[in-house]
Amino acid sequence: MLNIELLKKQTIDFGFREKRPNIYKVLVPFFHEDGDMYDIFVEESPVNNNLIRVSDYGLTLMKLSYAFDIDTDNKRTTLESIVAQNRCEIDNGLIYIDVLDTQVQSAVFLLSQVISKVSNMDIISREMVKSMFYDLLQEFVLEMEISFNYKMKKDITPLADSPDLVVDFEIPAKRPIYLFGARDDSKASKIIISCLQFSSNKLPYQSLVIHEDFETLTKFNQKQITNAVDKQYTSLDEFKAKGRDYLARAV
Amino acid sequence: MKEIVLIRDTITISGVKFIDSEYLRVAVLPLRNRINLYNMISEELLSEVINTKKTAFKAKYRKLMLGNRHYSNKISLRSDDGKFQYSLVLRKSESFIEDFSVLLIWENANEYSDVNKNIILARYQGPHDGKEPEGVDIHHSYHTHKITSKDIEVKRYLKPSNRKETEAYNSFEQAIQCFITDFGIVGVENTVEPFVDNKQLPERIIIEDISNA
Repeated sequence: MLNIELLKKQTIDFGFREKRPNIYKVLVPFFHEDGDMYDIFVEESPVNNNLIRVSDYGLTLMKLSYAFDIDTDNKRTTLESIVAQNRCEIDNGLIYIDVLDTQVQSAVFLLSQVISKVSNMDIISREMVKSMFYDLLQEFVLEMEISFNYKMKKDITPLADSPDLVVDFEIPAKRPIYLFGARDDSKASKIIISCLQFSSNKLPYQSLVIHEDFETLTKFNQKQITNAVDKQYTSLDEFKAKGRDYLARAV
Repeated sequence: MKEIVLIRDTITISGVKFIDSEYLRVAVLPLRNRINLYNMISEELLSEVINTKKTAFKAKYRKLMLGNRHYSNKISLRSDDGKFQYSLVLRKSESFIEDFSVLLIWENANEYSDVNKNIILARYQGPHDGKEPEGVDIHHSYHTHKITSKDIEVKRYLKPSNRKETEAYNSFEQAIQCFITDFGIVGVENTVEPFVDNKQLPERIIIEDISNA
């Protein structure tokens, strides 16, 4: 039977432990995957002694930094965006919110959400960047369509009886250029299989692969794709820097 | 489902070993993608990676650097047989000297498995408070975290879950020395300035918890 009175007591029963004089750690029921409790503290706000500052004392970013650095403008923007969207502020790595004492419980919950999101920034950041890779590749390929005055085809299937083997872009040439974007190991594997099948069916073509980041592929896939395709660029930036010259010779 | 075990560049399917070949790449790759190969990092490999001797060869900074309210440094390590690459990562809170971490991160797991991320193999920490009372919760004490096979299986590569209390060290600097010894690391002194031991922790003002009720 649901005991709502007990639940009411349990859900507001935050403990506090004095960390330093007048700085208290809030004992919250929120934990990282390794069992460490979220680091949330309360103290008088240094800017307004009528307010309580609920903060993480910089420990969220310290924990995040074990394997993920906020070292680019994009990452800094993402971090600031997460914090601001959740009505908190960030000051030299310290995430905080200043509230009235009657609002401390809500602020603790809010800060917990921010800590969860910031702690998973490595996943969010990777997914945001990955989701843009194909858009950015297509944008550049379209720019070159204008420069080289060709009509590019998209998502073509050179083998009628293998509709799963899809080429991202075909650039017309004496031997058409099959251009693939390789974002991860899964796509790299598909490219390898496609090129091996095209070759065994004696299709006249040249294969060109643009990697999001060649180094993130397994060593196995790095070797196999290097053996299977004609030309690769290890990143989109490299392709943008040198791809025009290559296409000028190849088209 | 056939059991597929990848041992470096050979593949064993249902007990029959294949050497890497054109046919095998095309035939096996799609199947591999559908199989959970978490056990690619075997217990033996994990043990080898953790316990093999390692040498430090460069550090990001000569001494701990302050930024975002914590001190940090990263020292690059290599196993003595050249196979494995690691980082020895140091973190200490600017505000609370007992809030620190010393970590060993394996950086080339992708060369030996399908794991494409860095893996935190171990972490030595100071007392940083837990929810339960002292005496019950190890987070009030100096404690260690170590990676387990289960962590690898569920892809918990950055949050090693096996926790143990320790009395082997009483400060950040002692934790570093202990860590270096425990994981067979040499040469750190050639990459960074010496660590000054600071055993003086602030006195705990109040021990009992203050309940909100």
